[in-house]
Amino acid sequence: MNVREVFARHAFFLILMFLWMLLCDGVLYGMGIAWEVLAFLNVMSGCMVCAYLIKVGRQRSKRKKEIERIAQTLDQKYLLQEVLGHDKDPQEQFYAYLLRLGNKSMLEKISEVKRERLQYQEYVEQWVHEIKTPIAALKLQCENVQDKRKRDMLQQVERVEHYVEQALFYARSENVEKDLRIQYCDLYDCCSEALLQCKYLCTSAFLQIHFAFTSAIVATDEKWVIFILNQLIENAVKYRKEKAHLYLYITQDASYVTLHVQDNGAGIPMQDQTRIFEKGFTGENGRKHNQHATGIGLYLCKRLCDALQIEMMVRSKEGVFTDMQLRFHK
Amino acid sequence: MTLLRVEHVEKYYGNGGNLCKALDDISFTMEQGEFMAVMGASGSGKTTLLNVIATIDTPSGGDIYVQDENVSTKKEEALAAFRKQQLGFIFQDLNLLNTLRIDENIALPLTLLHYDTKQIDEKVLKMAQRLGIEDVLLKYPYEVSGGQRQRCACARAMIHQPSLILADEPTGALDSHASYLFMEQLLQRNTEDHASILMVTHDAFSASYAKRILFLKDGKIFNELYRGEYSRSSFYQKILDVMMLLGGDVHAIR
Amino acid sequence: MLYVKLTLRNLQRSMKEYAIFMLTMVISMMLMYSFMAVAFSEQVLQLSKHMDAFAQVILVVSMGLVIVIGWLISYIANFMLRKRSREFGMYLLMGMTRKQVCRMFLLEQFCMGLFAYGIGCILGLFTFQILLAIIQHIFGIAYQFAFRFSIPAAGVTFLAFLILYAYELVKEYRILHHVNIHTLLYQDQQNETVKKGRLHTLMYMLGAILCAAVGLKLFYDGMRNGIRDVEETKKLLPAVLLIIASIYACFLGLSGFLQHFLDQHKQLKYQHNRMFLLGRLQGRLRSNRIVLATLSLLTLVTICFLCFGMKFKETTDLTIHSAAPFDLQVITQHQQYIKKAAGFLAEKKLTYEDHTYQTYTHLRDDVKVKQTFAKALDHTAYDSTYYRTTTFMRYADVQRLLQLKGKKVPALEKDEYMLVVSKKQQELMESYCRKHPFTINGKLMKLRYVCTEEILQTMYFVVVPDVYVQGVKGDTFYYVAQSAKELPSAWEDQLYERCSNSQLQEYSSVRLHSSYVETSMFSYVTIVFCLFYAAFIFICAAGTILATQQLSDLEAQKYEYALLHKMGASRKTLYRLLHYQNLLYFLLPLLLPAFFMIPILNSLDIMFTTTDATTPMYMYLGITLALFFTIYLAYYALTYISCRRNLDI
Repeated sequence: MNVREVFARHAFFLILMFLWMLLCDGVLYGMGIAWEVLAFLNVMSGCMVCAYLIKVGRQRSKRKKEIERIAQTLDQKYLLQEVLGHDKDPQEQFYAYLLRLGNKSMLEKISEVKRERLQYQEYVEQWVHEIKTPIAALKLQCENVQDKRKRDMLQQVERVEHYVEQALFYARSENVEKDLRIQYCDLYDCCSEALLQCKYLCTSAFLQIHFAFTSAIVATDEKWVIFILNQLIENAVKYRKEKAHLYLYITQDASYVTLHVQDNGAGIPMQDQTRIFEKGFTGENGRKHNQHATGIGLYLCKRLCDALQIEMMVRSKEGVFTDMQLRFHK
Repeated sequence: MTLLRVEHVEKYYGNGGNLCKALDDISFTMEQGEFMAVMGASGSGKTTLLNVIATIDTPSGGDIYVQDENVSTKKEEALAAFRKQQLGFIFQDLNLLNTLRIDENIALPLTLLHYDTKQIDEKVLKMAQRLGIEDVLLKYPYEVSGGQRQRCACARAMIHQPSLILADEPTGALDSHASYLFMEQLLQRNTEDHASILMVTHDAFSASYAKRILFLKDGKIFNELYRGEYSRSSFYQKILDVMMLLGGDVHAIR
Repeated sequence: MLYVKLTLRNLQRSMKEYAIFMLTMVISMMLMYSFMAVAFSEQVLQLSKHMDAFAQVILVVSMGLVIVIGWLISYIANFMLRKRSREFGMYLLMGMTRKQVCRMFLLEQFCMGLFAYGIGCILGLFTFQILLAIIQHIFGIAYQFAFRFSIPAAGVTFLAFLILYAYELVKEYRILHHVNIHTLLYQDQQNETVKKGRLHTLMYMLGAILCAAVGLKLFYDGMRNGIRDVEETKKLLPAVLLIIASIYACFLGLSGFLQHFLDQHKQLKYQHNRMFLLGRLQGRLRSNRIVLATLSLLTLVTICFLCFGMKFKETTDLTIHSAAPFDLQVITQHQQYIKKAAGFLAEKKLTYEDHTYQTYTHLRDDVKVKQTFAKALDHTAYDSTYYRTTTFMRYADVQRLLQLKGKKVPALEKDEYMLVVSKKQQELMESYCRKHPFTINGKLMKLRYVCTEEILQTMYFVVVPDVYVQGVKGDTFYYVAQSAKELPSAWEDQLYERCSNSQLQEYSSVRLHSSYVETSMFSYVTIVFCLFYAAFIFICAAGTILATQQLSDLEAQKYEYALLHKMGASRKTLYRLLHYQNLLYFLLPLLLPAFFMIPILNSLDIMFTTTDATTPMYMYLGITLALFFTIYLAYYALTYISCRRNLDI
């Protein structure tokens, strides 16, 4: 391809050279040199020029293909200039220099933004750390309250704690990988712990818990799973019907262990089922049942599940039940 | 005015399709007359850092200021002039040109700068005397010992009084005694002539001569040590402690 | 299979690395093939009956060149061996037997040579045509394109190639067999320990100057007096040896001399970036002294050859003109043969014009003559008894001779005389005649006219009005004929038969213009062609060796230039340094020839004093150098481009 371009670019020069050769031929022939010799010389010089141009064209096209291939396979395309390698062609060097300038300023901008976000995250973490002290103090104070208000207050404090935790996890959700510690843990224990943390929430909603299994060992990060279960239980409470029941059971097959968190609540309409994990999606239920829906909870859970390689699925019938499934690899 | 300012420098390397991040957001400053060392395991990015400061390589992101001049965006000719005037180099090996004698090797930077030819000899002699190699001036590099070669490299790096001297594993190819002699010389140059030295090394003994040490790990600054009032042996101990930490993996395994 | 693959891979790499060497080999084979083809070609042999001698001369010269090319090949092969010693050490270490390693290397060399041979033969077909065209043009025949592949030529070239490689392969085989692994592996760490003290250097340089002075003087003397006295030519051999010795001595001491000189004048060293250049130069000088000296010698010889060839061309052109001015000339002491010659021509039924005349050594007896022409050539190069006799000619004869050539001459009065001289002697004779009076019967004869037309005079004829030689018995009889068509050269022998009688020991000199041309052309072609052939090969060899040496330590060069770049030399400076470095190195072998050239050329010029060529040899220097530098600079350009591409900064 490039060969043709090279020839086209040098067309003017080639034509001039051809005319000049004709002129020299005429003069030499007039001086008495045999035409065979002249023909031979012409052919040779023509061949040499063509060979050179073809070589140049091929080199250029090869280089172009190589650069394209690199650009295609490179993941972080804004670092293209680092991978290109050094070329002798001064024109290419100049463009590489420009590319480098552009990408450098872009990279610096991105790094700046990253740094700011990191600072913000650190601030949130610190804030969460700090706020835990007054919350703990509040809890203690509530324990001391003797009357009926104790349960309400503790429930609200629980909710505050839960939202603080959510804020922390949200701030950290960018770099979830850094905080994971995978171990073998028992899903039963996880569920128990989660229920314990939402104790007051559940009791005030008169939620009936049904544990249908005793033990299920999977390899995962306990803390995160507890958080997810917390969120699911809270959802079950939020969107409950009169007589609320919560079923926790396991189904297994050859490669997976699936934990089901099923409630008999309001259910999720068909059209919303695919969208519940979107950030900020509150849907029908969010408007009907829960004015304070933020749409963040399930989004966060989905992100965490993706990081933990847990598959999260929903099975629901509007008005009848909602079954949130967490599928763990064996 | 700080001598060297490194701000948020990033460097990616790659060929073909794979990239690796050699420097990840490095920032530090260095003052005039400081003797600084950069330590780290191989692959931690210390040589890359040196190359980037020496303008042999350009950073992918970030800026480097030497005497308040931004060297990361200069073009080739300006960089060459900058290197000629402001920088001096000592490498681990292959420092000298084998076709020139020792005194000619030492005089090389001055000839590049088109220095006044009448004064070159004098300067070379003085420098050689300071470093204790005046008796091998007329020999060729392959005729002298490794330690003498490195001292010659040191002389060459300093003769044109650069703002910053960069040393890349200078004692790497020397035996312990030669290392000791060389580092003593280097320290003397720092204290007597106020030469600013940035040394990259993986050897704790050499690093203990520095006043300040940066530890690099995986392209990031892991730790920083100041000598302060410590004696050299206790400083050496501290360095060993940090290196042990560098070696172990603090993060949990997946 | 592994060995085949390895050999092929090594072959590919070697051919690329030593591309310049391959180029020279191809050129050598090409030239050899085309010259052999010329020697064996029928068209050329037909041109003259002497041409088989031409073929023999070419064969001999080719054999001589085989030695030179053989030296080149063996040097390069040795070079390759030294550079790749680590690789061979590695092979031996891994368990290959010596025989296998040897065989691999030798096979690779052989293949390279074979490849050069093949391409050389193919290209030789074209150069053969060019040579043929040139030869035919010289002999005055129209050029016809006839494509023919000469098998004997290819065969002989192949033989030459085999000889070249056989010798070299045997040598390499022996080397590889006896070297040990350790040496191979650590060869590059062995260092030069040559150091020249002041005394040594001084001795060498002084020795060089002494040898040069004495050698040149001897050479000059030998040449000058060799004409008169054959004994003197014995001086030539020691002269040549001394010159060669001085070249070698100079190079042996040059690096030390340079070093000491620079130490005294350090300022010169430190200016610009000379130190680096000079350091490299000194390194090269130290390690490659002998080769450089040999190259110097080759260059000197080449330039002498080229100048000689060109001078010879001029001489030949002029000689033909003066030695055979008429289509047929017969010179004899016996009058009867003149009639026989005339009769011969009459038989052949050609259109021609002829004239018979004689020359006289003295005028009429009854005329009192006072002249001193005989002394005219004293104190010149022609100071010998042969030229002391004055030759007189009749005015009418001269008039007729000139008429044959289509020229006119003014009439002579009774007191006027004419001089017929060769152009070279014109001034001398004229001034002599003006100073020394020529009197006949007491009356001063005026020099009316000086004719420089070529009519067979050796030095000069004194032409007097007819009356003064009436009745004098001539000493030499001449018969000249000018014919409309060129007379076939084969007649010369027949004429000679007719005009001579061996039994009576009576001989005539018969010269046919065409045959004379043929002979001179033959010698001209032989000498000039061979000289140019040899010169060309020498230049190519020299260029190749220099190029290969420069390209040999590309890695060291890369590292040195990278170091300079790090220390702050800009790219422009580095390219300029590279340029100067190569240029200096290529010009190094030309140092000494520059000194020796003009004295030697002057001395060689003396050989031609008796001919009519007046241009001193060093005037041809311009063209010679142009030719020389064209080829030489081509090699330089190739080297520079390769080096620069390798730098990669």
